[in-house]
Amino acid sequence: MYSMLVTLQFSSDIPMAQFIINLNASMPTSQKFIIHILDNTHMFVQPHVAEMIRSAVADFRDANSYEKPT
Amino acid sequence: MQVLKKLLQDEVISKARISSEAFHGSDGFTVSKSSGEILTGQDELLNEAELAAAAEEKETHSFEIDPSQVENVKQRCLPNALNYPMLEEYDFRNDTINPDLNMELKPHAQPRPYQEKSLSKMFGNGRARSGIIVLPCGAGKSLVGVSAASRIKKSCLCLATNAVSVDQWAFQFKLWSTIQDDQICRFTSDSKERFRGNAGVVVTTYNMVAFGGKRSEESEKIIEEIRNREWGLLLMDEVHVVPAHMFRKVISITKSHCKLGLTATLVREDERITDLNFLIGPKLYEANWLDLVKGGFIANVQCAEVWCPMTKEFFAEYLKKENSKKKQALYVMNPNKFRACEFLIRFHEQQRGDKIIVFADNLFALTEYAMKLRKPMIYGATSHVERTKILQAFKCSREVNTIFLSKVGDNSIDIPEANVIIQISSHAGSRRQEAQRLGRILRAKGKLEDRMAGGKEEYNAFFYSLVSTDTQEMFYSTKRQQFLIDQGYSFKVITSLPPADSGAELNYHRLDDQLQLLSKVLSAGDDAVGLEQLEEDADDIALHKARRSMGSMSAMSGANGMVYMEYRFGFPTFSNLCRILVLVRRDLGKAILRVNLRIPPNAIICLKDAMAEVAFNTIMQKIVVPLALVHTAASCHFA
Repeated sequence: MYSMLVTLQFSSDIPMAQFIINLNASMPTSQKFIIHILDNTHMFVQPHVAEMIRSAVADFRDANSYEKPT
Repeated sequence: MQVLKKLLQDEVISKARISSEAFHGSDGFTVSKSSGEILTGQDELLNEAELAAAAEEKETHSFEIDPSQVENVKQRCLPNALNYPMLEEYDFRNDTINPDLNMELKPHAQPRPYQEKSLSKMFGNGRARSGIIVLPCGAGKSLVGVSAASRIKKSCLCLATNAVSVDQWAFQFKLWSTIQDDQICRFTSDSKERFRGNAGVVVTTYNMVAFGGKRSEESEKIIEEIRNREWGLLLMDEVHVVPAHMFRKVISITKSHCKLGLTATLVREDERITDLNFLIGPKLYEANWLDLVKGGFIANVQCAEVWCPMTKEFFAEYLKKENSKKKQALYVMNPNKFRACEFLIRFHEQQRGDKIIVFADNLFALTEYAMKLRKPMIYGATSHVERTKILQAFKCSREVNTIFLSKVGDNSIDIPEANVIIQISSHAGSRRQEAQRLGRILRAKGKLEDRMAGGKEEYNAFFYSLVSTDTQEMFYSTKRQQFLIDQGYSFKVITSLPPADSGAELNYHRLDDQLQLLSKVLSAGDDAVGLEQLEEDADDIALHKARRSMGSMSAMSGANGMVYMEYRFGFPTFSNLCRILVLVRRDLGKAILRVNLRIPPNAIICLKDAMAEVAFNTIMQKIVVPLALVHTAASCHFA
């Protein structure tokens, strides 16, 4: 059955991989998206979540960066 | 004349006027005193500043206002209302009512060029202007204060933040000027001296003057004297730290002709800083830090931000919801940060023979780092005796080259020997703390000719801020740097410390050591890993809210007060554009009700056709608007 799935290999740096793992853990079981963790920086995820992960990471980075007000 | 009419017709000002008869055209700039009136004319504002603006008017008019309303009137005249900024001036030479104080600068007191310049701004036309002078730490603020007092030669009330600096100020007065010992007195809870004679200098703290509770009979007498006296100069040290309400109180109960505020960092995280404009006066002079560096007056500092990636295990814990209170401890104790810190200490101690201060606000981290590296540390609870012993050793001994300080070291501890600062944790996004800490190593080092531009050593002091990437710390760190960036400092980013091929000899090289540290952090109580709380923290109330609201304080603190708005966005979209405009409007909304902004014409076109990406990109490049131009610019209305 898994052979039917088109998976997406996702690579990131070590902290971001942890962020994605944490994101996955916070989802309800039906929405878990990590299929397999290859190593510290690589993993297979469901193909449809790529965008969601990207935006979650971008939000997280935004929250940690300071824009100078005027 | 129109200006005057407008002023008089204004509701706030007309209410504040004492009597309409007082309105008369006077012939000179003299401080006219109507002796018969109950309210002495000491707070009289000469409106010459406004009239000078209407260039054709040659004669001067004045009217008297109720002293208690001075603040309101001044506020009313700020750009957001009438836009006739006021300058308070004191014609001290022609003041014959208040007795003169016989004090001169001693001949060995040679003001440096920038000190001279700041004084010339203050005494521009033979009279003394009220306002604020901004000079970096270690650049000699006290000499400016003493010089100002000895030019005015009237009674002077000098306010400092604590008893230690009261002693320092009294010492500075005696050091730089010819004032007699019996003409200067300190008034603190420990020493209540009273001066004889009719003029003199009183040095005290803000708290002593503003204190509202019951006092001893003796201090009641002294405070009564302070209240009743007319002061020639009110000298206020470190104006940035004092809450606005305390200022109001101090200013309302003391009567002074001229107010001079001194500070190194005119930024606060609450928005009270703008109040200083009408409470004291405008910024008269601000020295650019880098100009002083070029002149060799303060040390040339290399600032660097060291990026330390979180380790896998620490970051996993950092992300967990149940650890939200430990986030700070986790990013401070990040083993990669520890290793970077250890590497820097070794490098500077062994290769350069430098003296290093490591700052950590987080007590847990401070203790852990200091114990692991076997270095002495000082924090709030360290006794005075031990502090002195450690500092003495740091200054003299060749063995002790590194000390760990909590935030007790931010302001009060003077360590001229130190030339390297490593900051491992800090008080959220406080720009003031960043600047004050940098101030610890600003005292000029080495020979003058080496320090001048083109001298032997390019940099002689180093300021490292260690930041764990991908954490809140990044946000705070960038915010903290803004003040220094406004001053013209640049932060170099260092990404790999220790270098990839070395570092095996440093602590926490092995994974199980790291895990041990992690479990230690996790098992520590929430309160143990928090920030150290000191009494003097009361002022930075708004620090922990990561606010992005607009304020105009940077307008007062930046290099020459010029502020640029720059926006960089990955994806230009309509909503981004809207956001900018709202930001702009909110910011200026405070200053001017209807926003007048000079935006290149295509920006306005783009407002109507916001989806046009090309035009949008051009604004992004051109929306660099010096605030100073705002007033003169064409208006455009935002929907």
